[in-house]
Amino acid sequence: MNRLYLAAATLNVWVLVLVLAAAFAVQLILGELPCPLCVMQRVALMLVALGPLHTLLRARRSGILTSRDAAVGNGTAILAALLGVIASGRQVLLHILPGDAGFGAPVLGLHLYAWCLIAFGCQIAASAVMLLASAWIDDKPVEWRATGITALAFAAIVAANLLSVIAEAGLNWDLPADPVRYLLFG
Amino acid sequence: MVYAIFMLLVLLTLAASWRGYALGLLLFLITVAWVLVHLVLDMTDPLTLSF
Repeated sequence: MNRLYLAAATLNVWVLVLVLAAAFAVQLILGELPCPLCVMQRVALMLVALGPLHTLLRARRSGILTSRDAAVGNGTAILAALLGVIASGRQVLLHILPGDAGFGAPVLGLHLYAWCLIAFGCQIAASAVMLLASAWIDDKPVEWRATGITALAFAAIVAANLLSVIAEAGLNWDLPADPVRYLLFG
Repeated sequence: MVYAIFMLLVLLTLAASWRGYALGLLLFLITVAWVLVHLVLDMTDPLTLSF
């Protein structure tokens, strides 16, 4: 059960890393700069990933997966996902009126913020299931080697977004509502 | 710049968790609270137009 649990937590982080990478790819390939609410949704995705990463890193450090660490990890993921629901839900509501073209190009028929709202809902459900499953964790030693590379991949995508948002905002405290260029480069 | 600080806090939280410091959870909660305040202020400011 413990290895299955850690595999699920690892998969959770990789899905979030891939979602962040896909958003970054849209930014770089299609040239669509993220708006303030889009960046807030990215931050919420990053905060969500810290939940399962907390569980993975604690298990890596102590060599034991405990239900306490799993509970903290899932609780933090749910809290962060609720933030994401607020940010993406607000953006959906901003563009809900008939005739509104929305912000950015749609992907598979939905805008990225609508996909984000769905993703945050799925994350809350997944974390709730993981929280239930943590009742069956037994406090025995467990070895899981994927934690290091998973945490490094996550750190890399966060660092890339960090540099990107600095380039986009320049020396300004906030981003423009409808960004069209990287302000750091004039 | 505020978004860069949020992301920096995420990286610091990750580093704290990696090193096993209890500070990680505190940093996480501070970041969540700050992001929430930022979102609420944005929503309640009638002059702000966010897309």
